[in-house]
Amino acid sequence: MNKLEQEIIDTIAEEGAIDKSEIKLDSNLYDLGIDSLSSLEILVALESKYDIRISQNRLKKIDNIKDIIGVVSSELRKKQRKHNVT
Amino acid sequence: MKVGLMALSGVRVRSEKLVKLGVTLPQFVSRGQVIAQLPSLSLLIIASLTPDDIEVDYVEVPDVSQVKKLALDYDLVAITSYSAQIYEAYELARRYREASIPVVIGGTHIIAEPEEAKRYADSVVIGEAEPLWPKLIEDFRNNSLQPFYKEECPGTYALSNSPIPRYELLEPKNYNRITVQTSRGCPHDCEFCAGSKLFGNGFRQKPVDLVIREIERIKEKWSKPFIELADDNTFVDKKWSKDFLKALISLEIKWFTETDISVADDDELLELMYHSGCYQLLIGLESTSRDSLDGIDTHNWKLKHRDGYLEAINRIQSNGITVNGCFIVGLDGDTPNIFKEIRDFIQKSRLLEAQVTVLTPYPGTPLYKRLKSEGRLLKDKYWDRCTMFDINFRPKNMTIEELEKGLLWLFEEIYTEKEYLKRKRYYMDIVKKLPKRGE
Repeated sequence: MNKLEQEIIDTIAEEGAIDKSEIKLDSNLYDLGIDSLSSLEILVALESKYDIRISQNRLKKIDNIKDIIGVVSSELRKKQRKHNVT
Repeated sequence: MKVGLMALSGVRVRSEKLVKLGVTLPQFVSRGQVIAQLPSLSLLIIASLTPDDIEVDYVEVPDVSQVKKLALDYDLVAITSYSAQIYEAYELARRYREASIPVVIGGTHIIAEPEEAKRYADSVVIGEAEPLWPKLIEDFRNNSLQPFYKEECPGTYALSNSPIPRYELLEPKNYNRITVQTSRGCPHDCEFCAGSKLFGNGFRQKPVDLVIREIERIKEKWSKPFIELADDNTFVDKKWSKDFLKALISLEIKWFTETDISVADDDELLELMYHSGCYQLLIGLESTSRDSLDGIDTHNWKLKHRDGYLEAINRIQSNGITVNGCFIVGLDGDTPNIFKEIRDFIQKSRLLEAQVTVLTPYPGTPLYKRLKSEGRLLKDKYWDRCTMFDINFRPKNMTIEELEKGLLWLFEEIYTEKEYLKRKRYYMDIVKKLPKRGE
């Protein structure tokens, strides 16, 4: 697990009030006790932490931890590209 | 001695078209999942009312037909169920009685239809568990179980005496949300309401410290629980509400409840809700149409508030609390235009979630009595269609087919992923601007 993945999992654990040891990359959010309302606030916390804005289209099909990591990584890459251009 | 406490759990839908459509609509499925997983508070209260020397088992039965082998090590079985699953409850009762295990039955449906229930059970509880269960269990021990246990003055039991439900009977991993009741009743007196009047008139609330003790008990098993307040209308008394919310902040929980739109008028209340962990309010808006709201409750309270709906929803959601707006279709004032009106309202209001159900004549309600007297019920005692999604009456200003088609159309319009994501993104932008909860 890389540093970014670890950080994201730490945020999910904190926001979702879940024991870190229970969170695996393929853990389903609902099985972790994260329903649609809780997942919203986790995503907001990640947006604030990394100063990103997840596009509406990327909000679909976020079912497991890997999906969240994928979305955040992709938005961070987008941000980096934008930064490089400017 | 051992008592089996059986709850018939899960959401039921009979219409094949809706079943087919429902599984493809993510938002529809997610609320259904939540409801299906809520524990039965009444049985956990009954467990608390049972003397310590009697063993109790809490069992959820999602589908009676799938229970191939009954657990038979009980001396008594107590069953509770809603109308939609009542025939399944009766079937479960029949099987236990066939195995010579006496059955007690109770719940909101039973309060309305006690004689019907008596055909399937040895004893019928008509009213709240707290004043009735201790006597019932004493009689059972003395081999003198009575056919009926009826609350003498419904609605007068003081909730301050209510025991803390035995949450320790629940297996933590099976429950994403835990129910806590702070009140019984609602002052609005809606014609269709199957919950608030059956336990007696009036509005009763538990003392704040009792509710807090219940939540603390839950926290012994779930460190940061998601609490679903099992109330009809939590924030009727604003003074109680603020005291409660202030006490809640330090408990660091997430919570959800049902209330009415008047909470939007109180900024301090909204701020306290946000900081105490309120994630969502479920609010019965019922309709966007003035004609449909007219007469829905005895004081036309909802009609009077209708013009303020948009602003109120905006104010609540701007405070970081999502609103699940509930609408009923098939009301007497509804015409076939209602479906488009509700769709437009949901889009305009940007309600994060919406719950659209069909008008349902539950037994014991004034609506049931009126539709029956007007000859508009499709079939009497059609309880398994009391699902809130299946139609069991003739609408006034449209055909049954128009109502069914309109409901399906509305589901497809509002529950699509695209629409939901739009509302989700909007709400996330609001929350981003707010301080962290509790700070």
